[in-house]
Amino acid sequence: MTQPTSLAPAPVDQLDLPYLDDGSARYEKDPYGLIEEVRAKSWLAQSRYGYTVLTFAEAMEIKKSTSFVRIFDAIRRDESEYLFDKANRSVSAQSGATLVRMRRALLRALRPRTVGELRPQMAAIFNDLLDNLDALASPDIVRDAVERYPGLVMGPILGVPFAETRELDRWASTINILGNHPEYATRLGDVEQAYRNMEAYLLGVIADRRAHPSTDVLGELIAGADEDPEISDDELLMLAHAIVNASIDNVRSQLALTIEALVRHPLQWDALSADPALVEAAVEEGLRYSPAGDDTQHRVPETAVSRGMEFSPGTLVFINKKAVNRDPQAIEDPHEFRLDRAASPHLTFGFGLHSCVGATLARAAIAEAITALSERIVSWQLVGEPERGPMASGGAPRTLPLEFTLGRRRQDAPRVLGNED
Amino acid sequence: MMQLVVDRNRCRGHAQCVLAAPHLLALDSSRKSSLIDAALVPEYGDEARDAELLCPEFAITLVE
Repeated sequence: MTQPTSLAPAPVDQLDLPYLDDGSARYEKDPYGLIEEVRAKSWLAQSRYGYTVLTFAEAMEIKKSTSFVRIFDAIRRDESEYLFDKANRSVSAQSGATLVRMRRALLRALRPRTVGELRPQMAAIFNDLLDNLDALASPDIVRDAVERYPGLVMGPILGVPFAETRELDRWASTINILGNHPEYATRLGDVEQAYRNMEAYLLGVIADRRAHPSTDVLGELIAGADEDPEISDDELLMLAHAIVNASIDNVRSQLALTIEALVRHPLQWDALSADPALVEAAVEEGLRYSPAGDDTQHRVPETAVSRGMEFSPGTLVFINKKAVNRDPQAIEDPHEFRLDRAASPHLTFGFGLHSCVGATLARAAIAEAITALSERIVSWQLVGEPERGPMASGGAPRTLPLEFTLGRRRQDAPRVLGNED
Repeated sequence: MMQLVVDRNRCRGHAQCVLAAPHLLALDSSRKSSLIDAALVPEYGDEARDAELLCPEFAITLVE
Protein backbone atom coordinates (compact mmCIF):
# COMPACT_ATOMS: atom_id res chain seq x y z
CA MET A 1 0.00 0.00 0.00
CA THR A 2 1.64 3.23 -1.05
CA GLN A 3 1.29 6.36 1.01
CA PRO A 4 2.49 9.84 0.13
CA THR A 5 5.95 10.11 1.70
CA SER A 6 5.12 13.49 3.22
CA LEU A 7 2.40 11.90 5.35
CA ALA A 8 3.78 9.86 8.22
CA PRO A 9 1.42 7.06 9.23
CA ALA A 10 -0.70 7.97 12.24
CA PRO A 11 -0.65 5.55 15.18
CA VAL A 12 -4.14 4.12 15.21
CA ASP A 13 -4.56 4.55 18.96
CA GLN A 14 -4.08 8.30 18.61
CA LEU A 15 -6.81 8.71 16.01
CA ASP A 16 -10.31 9.80 16.84
CA LEU A 17 -12.04 6.68 15.56
CA PRO A 18 -15.72 5.89 16.06
CA TYR A 19 -16.59 3.06 18.45
CA LEU A 20 -18.48 -0.05 17.34
CA ASP A 21 -19.96 -1.76 20.38
CA ASP A 22 -20.62 -5.19 18.91
CA GLY A 23 -21.42 -6.54 22.36
CA SER A 24 -24.29 -4.12 22.91
CA ALA A 25 -28.00 -4.84 22.97
CA ARG A 26 -28.29 -2.36 20.09
CA TYR A 27 -25.90 -4.45 17.93
CA GLU A 28 -27.82 -7.60 18.70
CA LYS A 29 -31.13 -5.95 17.79
CA ASP A 30 -30.03 -3.86 14.79
CA PRO A 31 -26.46 -4.71 13.75
CA TYR A 32 -26.76 -3.26 10.27
CA GLY A 33 -28.17 0.07 11.46
CA LEU A 34 -25.37 0.46 13.98
CA ILE A 35 -22.73 -0.54 11.41
CA GLU A 36 -24.09 2.05 8.93
CA GLU A 37 -23.83 4.82 11.52
CA VAL A 38 -20.26 3.92 12.39
CA ARG A 39 -19.11 3.28 8.83
CA ALA A 40 -20.37 6.71 7.74
CA LYS A 41 -17.54 8.11 9.92
CA SER A 42 -14.68 5.72 9.12
CA TRP A 43 -13.75 2.39 7.48
CA LEU A 44 -12.11 1.40 10.75
CA ALA A 45 -13.78 1.47 14.14
CA GLN A 46 -12.47 0.97 17.58
CA SER A 47 -14.08 -2.03 19.21
CA ARG A 48 -13.96 -3.85 22.50
CA TYR A 49 -10.71 -5.76 21.98
CA GLY A 50 -9.07 -3.83 19.15
CA TYR A 51 -10.21 -2.44 15.83
CA THR A 52 -12.90 -3.54 13.40
CA VAL A 53 -12.78 -3.18 9.62
CA LEU A 54 -16.13 -2.24 8.07
CA THR A 55 -15.43 -1.96 4.34
CA PHE A 56 -14.81 -4.53 1.62
CA ALA A 57 -11.73 -3.12 -0.14
CA GLU A 58 -9.86 -2.48 3.12
CA ALA A 59 -10.82 -5.93 4.40
CA MET A 60 -9.38 -7.50 1.25
CA GLU A 61 -6.15 -5.55 1.67
CA ILE A 62 -5.76 -6.80 5.21
CA LYS A 63 -6.59 -10.37 4.18
CA LYS A 64 -3.95 -10.22 1.43
CA SER A 65 -1.32 -8.57 3.63
CA THR A 66 1.21 -10.70 5.45
CA SER A 67 1.46 -8.01 8.15
CA PHE A 68 -1.92 -9.08 9.55
CA VAL A 69 -1.83 -12.69 10.69
CA ARG A 70 -5.03 -14.62 10.95
CA ILE A 71 -5.81 -15.99 14.41
CA PHE A 72 -8.69 -18.22 15.41
CA ASP A 73 -10.14 -15.86 17.96
CA ALA A 74 -9.20 -13.12 20.32
CA ILE A 75 -9.14 -15.29 23.41
CA ARG A 76 -6.58 -14.21 25.98
CA ARG A 77 -4.39 -16.52 28.00
CA ASP A 78 -5.79 -15.20 31.28
CA GLU A 79 -9.34 -16.05 30.18
CA SER A 80 -8.63 -19.72 29.50
CA GLU A 81 -5.16 -21.23 29.21
CA TYR A 82 -6.67 -24.32 27.58
CA LEU A 83 -8.66 -22.50 24.89
CA PHE A 84 -5.82 -20.06 24.23
CA ASP A 85 -3.52 -22.99 23.53
CA LYS A 86 -6.06 -24.80 21.34
CA ALA A 87 -6.97 -21.66 19.44
CA ASN A 88 -3.37 -20.97 18.60
CA ARG A 89 -2.78 -24.48 17.32
CA SER A 90 -5.93 -24.60 15.20
CA VAL A 91 -5.77 -24.52 11.40
CA SER A 92 -7.28 -21.04 11.42
CA ALA A 93 -4.33 -19.69 13.41
CA GLN A 94 -1.60 -21.07 11.12
CA SER A 95 0.36 -19.33 8.43
CA GLY A 96 3.26 -20.02 6.07
CA ALA A 97 4.50 -23.58 5.53
CA THR A 98 2.38 -25.06 8.34
CA LEU A 99 -0.80 -23.66 6.80
CA VAL A 100 0.14 -24.96 3.35
CA ARG A 101 0.81 -28.43 4.79
CA MET A 102 -2.47 -28.49 6.70
CA ARG A 103 -4.56 -27.12 3.85
CA ARG A 104 -3.07 -29.67 1.48
CA ALA A 105 -4.04 -32.45 3.90
CA LEU A 106 -7.64 -31.17 3.93
CA LEU A 107 -7.70 -31.06 0.12
CA ARG A 108 -6.42 -34.62 -0.09
CA ALA A 109 -9.25 -35.83 2.12
CA LEU A 110 -11.96 -33.89 0.26
CA ARG A 111 -10.77 -34.36 -3.33
CA PRO A 112 -12.07 -37.93 -3.87
CA ARG A 113 -15.62 -36.65 -3.44
CA THR A 114 -17.35 -35.07 -6.40
CA VAL A 115 -20.00 -32.70 -5.15
CA GLY A 116 -22.13 -33.20 -8.29
CA GLU A 117 -22.54 -36.87 -7.40
CA LEU A 118 -23.68 -36.01 -3.88
CA ARG A 119 -26.41 -33.60 -4.97
CA PRO A 120 -29.22 -36.12 -5.71
CA GLN A 121 -28.74 -37.58 -2.22
CA MET A 122 -28.88 -34.10 -0.68
CA ALA A 123 -32.13 -33.37 -2.56
CA ALA A 124 -33.64 -36.69 -1.52
CA ILE A 125 -32.79 -36.08 2.16
CA PHE A 126 -34.32 -32.60 2.25
CA ASN A 127 -37.46 -33.81 0.43
CA ASP A 128 -37.80 -36.63 2.96
CA LEU A 129 -37.50 -34.16 5.82
CA LEU A 130 -40.24 -32.05 4.24
CA ASP A 131 -42.45 -35.14 3.80
CA ASN A 132 -41.95 -35.97 7.46
CA LEU A 133 -43.37 -32.57 8.48
CA ASP A 134 -46.86 -33.87 7.53
CA ALA A 135 -46.93 -36.11 10.59
CA LEU A 136 -46.26 -33.25 13.02
CA ALA A 137 -48.97 -31.24 14.79
CA SER A 138 -47.24 -27.88 14.36
CA PRO A 139 -44.35 -28.39 11.96
CA ASP A 140 -41.56 -25.84 11.75
CA ILE A 141 -39.37 -25.93 8.64
CA VAL A 142 -36.28 -24.77 10.50
CA ARG A 143 -36.69 -26.68 13.76
CA ASP A 144 -37.92 -29.92 12.20
CA ALA A 145 -36.14 -30.04 8.82
CA VAL A 146 -33.22 -27.60 8.56
CA GLU A 147 -31.88 -28.59 12.00
CA ARG A 148 -31.56 -32.23 10.93
CA TYR A 149 -30.45 -31.75 7.36
CA PRO A 150 -26.69 -31.01 7.63
CA GLY A 151 -26.14 -33.94 9.97
CA LEU A 152 -27.95 -36.29 7.60
CA VAL A 153 -26.03 -34.96 4.61
CA MET A 154 -22.61 -34.60 6.21
CA GLY A 155 -22.74 -37.67 8.47
CA PRO A 156 -22.14 -40.20 5.67
CA ILE A 157 -19.59 -37.90 3.99
CA LEU A 158 -17.61 -37.54 7.22
CA GLY A 159 -18.25 -41.11 8.29
CA VAL A 160 -20.25 -40.28 11.40
CA PRO A 161 -23.62 -41.86 12.38
CA PHE A 162 -26.55 -39.41 12.37
CA ALA A 163 -27.15 -39.67 16.12
CA GLU A 164 -23.58 -38.52 16.72
CA THR A 165 -23.90 -35.63 14.28
CA ARG A 166 -26.55 -34.08 16.56
CA GLU A 167 -24.02 -34.07 19.39
CA LEU A 168 -21.25 -32.74 17.12
CA ASP A 169 -23.59 -29.96 15.96
CA ARG A 170 -24.26 -28.94 19.57
CA TRP A 171 -20.55 -28.91 20.46
CA ALA A 172 -19.62 -27.07 17.28
CA SER A 173 -22.22 -24.36 17.77
CA THR A 174 -20.94 -23.83 21.31
CA ILE A 175 -17.30 -23.79 20.19
CA ASN A 176 -18.14 -21.38 17.38
CA ILE A 177 -19.24 -18.85 19.98
CA LEU A 178 -15.51 -18.12 20.09
CA GLY A 179 -16.15 -16.29 16.82
CA ASN A 180 -17.91 -13.53 18.74
CA HIS A 181 -15.95 -12.17 21.67
CA PRO A 182 -18.65 -10.35 23.62
CA GLU A 183 -20.66 -13.55 23.56
CA TYR A 184 -17.93 -15.97 24.58
CA ALA A 185 -16.77 -13.84 27.46
CA THR A 186 -19.82 -15.00 29.44
CA ARG A 187 -19.73 -18.63 28.27
CA LEU A 188 -16.10 -19.68 28.58
CA GLY A 189 -16.92 -22.70 30.76
CA ASP A 190 -19.41 -24.07 28.22
CA VAL A 191 -17.05 -23.47 25.32
CA GLU A 192 -14.18 -25.19 27.10
CA GLN A 193 -16.35 -28.20 27.94
CA ALA A 194 -17.61 -28.46 24.34
CA TYR A 195 -14.05 -28.27 23.05
CA ARG A 196 -12.94 -31.05 25.41
CA ASN A 197 -15.90 -33.21 24.35
CA MET A 198 -15.15 -32.65 20.67
CA GLU A 199 -11.49 -33.45 21.17
CA ALA A 200 -12.18 -36.65 23.07
CA TYR A 201 -14.62 -37.71 20.36
CA LEU A 202 -12.14 -37.02 17.57
CA LEU A 203 -9.33 -38.87 19.35
CA GLY A 204 -11.70 -41.84 19.44
CA VAL A 205 -12.40 -41.49 15.71
CA ILE A 206 -8.68 -41.31 14.93
CA ALA A 207 -7.95 -44.47 16.93
CA ASP A 208 -10.91 -46.23 15.33
CA ARG A 209 -9.92 -45.32 11.74
CA ARG A 210 -6.36 -46.43 12.36
CA ALA A 211 -7.71 -49.84 13.34
CA HIS A 212 -10.44 -49.84 10.64
CA PRO A 213 -9.47 -47.68 7.65
CA SER A 214 -12.38 -46.13 5.71
CA THR A 215 -12.93 -44.04 2.59
CA ASP A 216 -15.09 -41.32 4.17
CA VAL A 217 -13.55 -37.87 4.65
CA LEU A 218 -12.29 -38.53 8.19
CA GLY A 219 -10.90 -41.89 7.07
CA GLU A 220 -9.10 -40.30 4.11
CA LEU A 221 -7.80 -37.49 6.31
CA ILE A 222 -6.41 -39.85 8.92
CA ALA A 223 -4.89 -42.27 6.39
CA GLY A 224 -3.34 -39.37 4.45
CA ALA A 225 -1.88 -37.80 7.59
CA ASP A 226 -0.43 -41.11 8.73
CA GLU A 227 1.37 -41.43 5.40
CA ASP A 228 2.74 -37.90 5.61
CA PRO A 229 5.67 -37.74 8.06
CA GLU A 230 5.30 -33.95 8.30
CA ILE A 231 1.79 -34.08 9.79
CA SER A 232 1.99 -34.58 13.55
CA ASP A 233 -0.74 -36.24 15.62
CA ASP A 234 -1.57 -32.85 17.07
CA GLU A 235 -1.98 -31.37 13.59
CA LEU A 236 -4.17 -34.29 12.58
CA LEU A 237 -6.43 -33.63 15.57
CA MET A 238 -6.67 -29.96 14.57
CA LEU A 239 -7.48 -30.93 10.97
CA ALA A 240 -10.25 -33.30 12.03
CA HIS A 241 -11.53 -30.59 14.33
CA ALA A 242 -11.57 -28.03 11.50
CA ILE A 243 -13.59 -30.33 9.25
CA VAL A 244 -16.13 -31.47 11.82
CA ASN A 245 -16.54 -28.07 13.43
CA ALA A 246 -17.31 -26.34 10.15
CA SER A 247 -19.46 -28.89 8.39
CA ILE A 248 -22.68 -29.07 10.38
CA ASP A 249 -23.34 -25.96 12.48
CA ASN A 250 -22.32 -23.56 9.71
CA VAL A 251 -24.42 -25.21 7.00
CA ARG A 252 -27.46 -25.35 9.28
CA SER A 253 -27.09 -21.70 10.24
CA GLN A 254 -26.49 -20.46 6.70
CA LEU A 255 -29.44 -22.41 5.31
CA ALA A 256 -31.77 -21.10 8.03
CA LEU A 257 -30.63 -17.53 7.40
CA THR A 258 -31.10 -17.89 3.64
CA ILE A 259 -34.60 -19.34 4.05
CA GLU A 260 -35.48 -16.47 6.38
CA ALA A 261 -34.26 -13.94 3.78
CA LEU A 262 -36.37 -15.63 1.11
CA VAL A 263 -39.48 -15.67 3.30
CA ARG A 264 -39.06 -11.99 4.05
CA HIS A 265 -38.70 -11.07 0.36
CA PRO A 266 -41.84 -12.41 -1.36
CA LEU A 267 -41.07 -10.87 -4.77
CA GLN A 268 -37.67 -12.55 -4.87
CA TRP A 269 -39.23 -15.78 -3.66
CA ASP A 270 -41.86 -15.67 -6.43
CA ALA A 271 -39.12 -15.07 -9.00
CA LEU A 272 -37.18 -18.06 -7.66
CA SER A 273 -40.23 -20.32 -7.61
CA ALA A 274 -40.87 -19.42 -11.25
CA ASP A 275 -37.27 -19.88 -12.36
CA PRO A 276 -35.16 -22.67 -10.80
CA ALA A 277 -32.07 -21.24 -12.52
CA LEU A 278 -32.06 -18.52 -9.84
CA VAL A 279 -31.15 -20.98 -7.08
CA GLU A 280 -27.41 -20.37 -7.35
CA ALA A 281 -28.03 -16.61 -7.14
CA ALA A 282 -30.22 -17.15 -4.07
CA VAL A 283 -27.48 -19.16 -2.35
CA GLU A 284 -24.83 -16.52 -3.09
CA GLU A 285 -27.04 -13.58 -2.17
CA GLY A 286 -28.00 -15.37 1.06
CA LEU A 287 -24.32 -15.80 1.91
CA ARG A 288 -23.76 -12.09 1.31
CA TYR A 289 -26.95 -10.73 2.87
CA SER A 290 -26.89 -12.73 6.10
CA PRO A 291 -23.58 -14.49 6.75
CA ALA A 292 -23.56 -17.32 9.31
CA GLY A 293 -20.60 -15.81 11.07
CA ASP A 294 -19.67 -12.60 12.75
CA ASP A 295 -16.04 -11.69 12.23
CA THR A 296 -12.58 -13.05 11.50
CA GLN A 297 -9.70 -12.08 13.72
CA HIS A 298 -6.22 -10.99 12.85
CA ARG A 299 -3.20 -10.06 14.93
CA VAL A 300 -0.38 -7.68 14.04
CA PRO A 301 2.93 -9.38 14.94
CA GLU A 302 5.09 -6.39 14.00
CA THR A 303 4.26 -2.76 13.36
CA ALA A 304 1.97 -2.64 10.31
CA VAL A 305 0.62 0.20 8.21
CA SER A 306 -2.63 0.18 6.27
CA ARG A 307 -4.18 3.23 4.57
CA GLY A 308 -2.00 5.61 6.52
CA MET A 309 -2.82 4.05 9.87
CA GLU A 310 -0.13 2.43 11.97
CA PHE A 311 -0.90 -0.63 14.09
CA SER A 312 1.46 -1.49 16.93
CA PRO A 313 2.58 -5.11 17.60
CA GLY A 314 -0.06 -7.22 19.31
CA THR A 315 -3.00 -5.15 18.07
CA LEU A 316 -6.09 -7.19 17.21
CA VAL A 317 -7.95 -6.36 14.02
CA PHE A 318 -11.40 -7.83 13.30
CA ILE A 319 -13.05 -8.06 9.92
CA ASN A 320 -16.80 -7.79 10.40
CA LYS A 321 -18.55 -9.92 7.76
CA LYS A 322 -21.92 -8.22 8.17
CA ALA A 323 -20.29 -4.88 7.50
CA VAL A 324 -18.09 -5.79 4.53
CA ASN A 325 -20.83 -7.83 2.83
CA ARG A 326 -23.05 -4.74 2.85
CA ASP A 327 -20.47 -2.11 2.03
CA PRO A 328 -22.15 0.40 -0.36
CA GLN A 329 -18.75 0.97 -2.01
CA ALA A 330 -18.62 -2.71 -2.98
CA ILE A 331 -22.22 -3.40 -3.93
CA GLU A 332 -25.21 -1.36 -5.05
CA ASP A 333 -28.18 -1.18 -2.67
CA PRO A 334 -26.40 -3.41 -0.15
CA HIS A 335 -29.39 -3.76 2.17
CA GLU A 336 -31.58 -5.18 -0.56
CA PHE A 337 -31.85 -8.95 -0.98
CA ARG A 338 -31.98 -9.38 -4.75
CA LEU A 339 -31.57 -12.36 -7.05
CA ASP A 340 -30.92 -10.31 -10.19
CA ARG A 341 -27.42 -9.18 -9.26
CA ALA A 342 -24.55 -9.86 -11.66
CA ALA A 343 -22.51 -10.91 -8.60
CA SER A 344 -22.91 -10.97 -4.83
CA PRO A 345 -19.41 -10.25 -3.49
CA HIS A 346 -18.94 -11.43 0.10
CA LEU A 347 -16.35 -12.60 2.58
CA THR A 348 -18.58 -15.18 4.25
CA PHE A 349 -16.22 -18.02 3.24
CA GLY A 350 -13.16 -15.84 3.83
CA PHE A 351 -10.45 -15.33 1.25
CA GLY A 352 -7.13 -16.87 0.25
CA LEU A 353 -5.37 -19.74 1.99
CA HIS A 354 -7.71 -19.50 4.98
CA SER A 355 -10.88 -19.60 2.87
CA CYS A 356 -13.36 -22.36 3.62
CA VAL A 357 -12.33 -25.65 1.97
CA GLY A 358 -15.90 -26.93 2.23
CA ALA A 359 -17.44 -23.98 0.38
CA THR A 360 -18.50 -25.99 -2.67
CA LEU A 361 -20.02 -28.71 -0.53
CA ALA A 362 -21.84 -26.14 1.59
CA ARG A 363 -23.15 -24.27 -1.46
CA ALA A 364 -24.45 -27.52 -2.95
CA ALA A 365 -26.17 -28.56 0.29
CA ILE A 366 -27.87 -25.18 0.64
CA ALA A 367 -28.82 -25.09 -3.06
CA GLU A 368 -30.49 -28.52 -2.94
CA ALA A 369 -32.57 -27.55 0.10
CA ILE A 370 -33.63 -24.25 -1.48
CA THR A 371 -34.50 -26.05 -4.72
CA ALA A 372 -36.73 -28.52 -2.87
CA LEU A 373 -38.51 -25.64 -1.11
CA SER A 374 -38.96 -23.67 -4.33
CA GLU A 375 -40.51 -26.72 -5.99
CA ARG A 376 -42.84 -27.59 -3.14
CA ILE A 377 -43.86 -24.55 -1.13
CA VAL A 378 -47.27 -23.51 -2.47
CA SER A 379 -47.45 -20.55 -0.12
CA TRP A 380 -45.73 -19.39 3.06
CA GLN A 381 -45.99 -16.44 5.35
CA LEU A 382 -44.13 -15.40 8.47
CA VAL A 383 -46.54 -15.20 11.43
CA GLY A 384 -44.15 -14.47 14.28
CA GLU A 385 -40.54 -13.75 15.11
CA PRO A 386 -37.98 -16.58 15.04
CA GLU A 387 -35.99 -17.73 18.04
CA ARG A 388 -32.33 -17.13 17.28
CA GLY A 389 -29.04 -18.87 17.97
CA PRO A 390 -25.79 -17.11 18.88
CA MET A 391 -24.58 -14.00 17.09
CA ALA A 392 -21.38 -15.91 16.36
CA SER A 393 -23.44 -18.00 13.91
CA GLY A 394 -25.06 -14.91 12.43
CA GLY A 395 -28.04 -15.01 14.80
CA ALA A 396 -29.44 -17.83 12.66
CA PRO A 397 -33.08 -18.79 13.29
CA ARG A 398 -33.60 -21.96 15.35
CA THR A 399 -37.35 -21.74 14.64
CA LEU A 400 -39.28 -19.97 11.91
CA PRO A 401 -42.97 -19.36 12.71
CA LEU A 402 -44.56 -19.85 9.30
CA GLU A 403 -47.98 -20.62 7.94
CA PHE A 404 -47.21 -22.71 4.91
CA THR A 405 -48.68 -25.12 2.42
CA LEU A 406 -46.47 -27.81 1.05
CA GLY A 407 -46.93 -29.52 -2.29
CA ARG A 408 -45.85 -33.02 -3.20
CA ARG A 409 -42.31 -33.91 -4.14
CA ARG A 410 -41.34 -34.39 -7.75
CA GLN A 411 -42.23 -37.86 -9.01
CA ASP A 412 -38.65 -38.79 -9.81
CA ALA A 413 -37.24 -37.93 -6.40
CA PRO A 414 -36.50 -41.15 -4.47
CA ARG A 415 -37.00 -41.51 -0.73
CA VAL A 416 -33.91 -42.28 1.32
CA LEU A 417 -35.08 -41.77 4.90
CA GLY A 418 -37.68 -43.58 6.92
CA ASN A 419 -40.27 -41.55 8.82
CA GLU A 420 -37.96 -41.61 11.83
CA ASP A 421 -34.91 -40.41 9.83
CA MET B 1 9.53 -32.17 -13.37
CA MET B 2 6.82 -30.07 -11.78
CA GLN B 3 3.43 -30.54 -13.43
CA LEU B 4 0.12 -28.77 -12.95
CA VAL B 5 -2.92 -30.85 -13.86
CA VAL B 6 -6.38 -29.30 -14.33
CA ASP B 7 -9.35 -31.66 -14.19
CA ARG B 8 -11.75 -30.02 -16.63
CA ASN B 9 -14.64 -32.21 -15.48
CA ARG B 10 -14.38 -30.68 -12.03
CA CYS B 11 -13.62 -27.09 -13.05
CA ARG B 12 -16.62 -24.79 -12.71
CA GLY B 13 -14.94 -21.55 -13.68
CA HIS B 14 -14.64 -19.87 -10.26
CA ALA B 15 -11.35 -18.40 -11.55
CA GLN B 16 -9.69 -18.53 -8.13
CA CYS B 17 -6.73 -20.25 -9.81
CA VAL B 18 -6.46 -17.50 -12.42
CA LEU B 19 -6.17 -14.94 -9.62
CA ALA B 20 -3.62 -17.10 -7.80
CA ALA B 21 -1.57 -18.07 -10.87
CA PRO B 22 -1.94 -15.41 -13.57
CA HIS B 23 1.22 -16.58 -15.33
CA LEU B 24 0.08 -20.17 -15.58
CA LEU B 25 -3.69 -20.37 -15.93
CA ALA B 26 -6.44 -18.63 -17.86
CA LEU B 27 -10.12 -19.31 -18.47
CA ASP B 28 -10.73 -20.58 -21.98
CA SER B 29 -13.75 -19.90 -24.20
CA SER B 30 -15.86 -22.44 -22.26
CA ARG B 31 -14.94 -20.72 -18.94
CA LYS B 32 -12.75 -23.61 -17.83
CA SER B 33 -9.29 -23.20 -16.43
CA SER B 34 -6.53 -24.12 -18.82
CA LEU B 35 -2.75 -24.11 -18.67
CA ILE B 36 -1.07 -21.35 -20.67
CA ASP B 37 2.30 -23.08 -21.04
CA ALA B 38 3.33 -26.23 -19.16
CA ALA B 39 6.99 -25.25 -19.43
CA LEU B 40 6.40 -22.21 -17.21
CA VAL B 41 5.17 -24.24 -14.21
CA PRO B 42 8.59 -24.69 -12.51
CA GLU B 43 9.34 -20.98 -12.87
CA TYR B 44 6.09 -20.02 -11.11
CA GLY B 45 6.06 -22.83 -8.57
CA ASP B 46 4.51 -20.69 -5.81
CA GLU B 47 1.67 -19.66 -8.10
CA ALA B 48 1.09 -23.30 -9.03
CA ARG B 49 0.94 -24.30 -5.36
CA ASP B 50 -1.55 -21.55 -4.52
CA ALA B 51 -3.73 -22.47 -7.49
CA GLU B 52 -3.92 -26.04 -6.20
CA LEU B 53 -4.69 -24.93 -2.65
CA LEU B 54 -7.33 -22.37 -3.61
CA CYS B 55 -9.44 -24.28 -6.14
CA PRO B 56 -12.83 -24.73 -4.42
CA GLU B 57 -13.63 -27.73 -6.66
CA PHE B 58 -10.28 -29.48 -5.97
CA ALA B 59 -9.80 -29.56 -9.75
CA ILE B 60 -6.10 -28.69 -9.71
CA THR B 61 -3.29 -31.02 -8.72
CA LEU B 62 0.36 -30.08 -8.47
CA VAL B 63 2.69 -33.00 -9.10
CA GLU B 64 6.20 -32.24 -7.86
